[in-house]
Amino acid sequence: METWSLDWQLGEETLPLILRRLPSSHDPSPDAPVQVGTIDLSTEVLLLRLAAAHAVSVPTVVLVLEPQHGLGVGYIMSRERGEALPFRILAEPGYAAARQQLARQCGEVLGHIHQIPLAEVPPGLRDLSPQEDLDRLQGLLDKYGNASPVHQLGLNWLRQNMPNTGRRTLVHGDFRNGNLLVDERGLVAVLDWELAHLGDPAEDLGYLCGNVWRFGHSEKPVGGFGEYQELLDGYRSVTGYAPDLKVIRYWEVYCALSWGLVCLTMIEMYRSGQDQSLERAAVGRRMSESEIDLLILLEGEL
Amino acid sequence: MSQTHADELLLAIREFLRQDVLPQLEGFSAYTARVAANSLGIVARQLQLQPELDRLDEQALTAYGIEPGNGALQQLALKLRNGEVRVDATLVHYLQQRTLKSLAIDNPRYSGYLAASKRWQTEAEKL
Repeated sequence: METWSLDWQLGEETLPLILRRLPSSHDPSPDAPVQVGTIDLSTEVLLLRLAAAHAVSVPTVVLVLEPQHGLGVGYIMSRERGEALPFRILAEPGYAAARQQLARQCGEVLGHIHQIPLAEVPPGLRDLSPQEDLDRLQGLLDKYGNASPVHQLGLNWLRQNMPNTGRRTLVHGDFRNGNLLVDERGLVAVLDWELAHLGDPAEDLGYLCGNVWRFGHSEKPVGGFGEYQELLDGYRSVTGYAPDLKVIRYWEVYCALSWGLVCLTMIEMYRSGQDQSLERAAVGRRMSESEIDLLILLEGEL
Repeated sequence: MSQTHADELLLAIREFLRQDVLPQLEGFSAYTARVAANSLGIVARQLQLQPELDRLDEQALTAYGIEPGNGALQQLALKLRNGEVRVDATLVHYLQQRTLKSLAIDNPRYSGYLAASKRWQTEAEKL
């Protein structure tokens, strides 16, 4: 997937835009390697419009590409003002007030996402039972050669400790510091919807608290900027309910394992020749981060 | 006196990247140059620490009927997958120490490493 920043000159006016499209070299044959778990661009457009209709701040889709545009498959959306780089959001004094608000605001916006009626959610999203989803993760661990005993311990624990909340909603799937656009006052827009699926809404809340997405600020469990209570209060103010901390913790374990799987996917992309960039090879070396996070979370639980 | 060691060469290249090359780059190339410099640090630390990692594996794995060497960790992962290994304090301790050692190579600045090394290394010293 390519993401381009562009300015559209309309007479005197300049429109700041983002173009998302398949790479021009993309081979549309069914054999072409596709990243695991991602949705197609037309579904992404439907999701962005759906979220906007339900009080979730997202970029506005302004144009879905047609063949006559000659730009391939994709869409153009507004480029909102704000910062998405975690290190800036967590460190710069200009975001101090935003950091105070952010955890609560994340709770509120997740509440709105999870209240979207399932009947309105576009078809084609991953829709697995918790059991099937863990089978999917086991399938990936097997596919990548069972590289890590710690990952396997993590997955075994997830199987044995599955919470049964009975709740099933649209889940953003990648709701974390880095995919949130923030300005001086706090959350501006929720980005990167390509891992959206159906599942337990607590997944989004716990994933946001994964240690890897705290970017070195482990003492602030929510994205490196906030407290659990702020997140859950914000969530409860919209939905009237919030999962307990034990369930949040379960999804932090899940988050640590999925970060491990991202690293394994990068190694696979590098070794298969699909993407031989240094960046891919280097991210593959971050697998041990997921292992230490798993072992810390599971201390005394094994 | 001996010839320049491999890790000395790596660190010299890293400093060249950081001090001479990086200031001339911007955008994605600058980012990639930083990744390159970090990666050389990983290789240098691995040259230094791999023997300790191997020693940890040798001591631990034979207890599970696994021959140390290539594929040994995969065998342990598969045994855990199939429920053929009991998860006890010895196993957890080994995996903690092994993971600490891996992070000492891969990213000793990672927050999880800093937290865990305080806790688990002090425990290891007590044993």
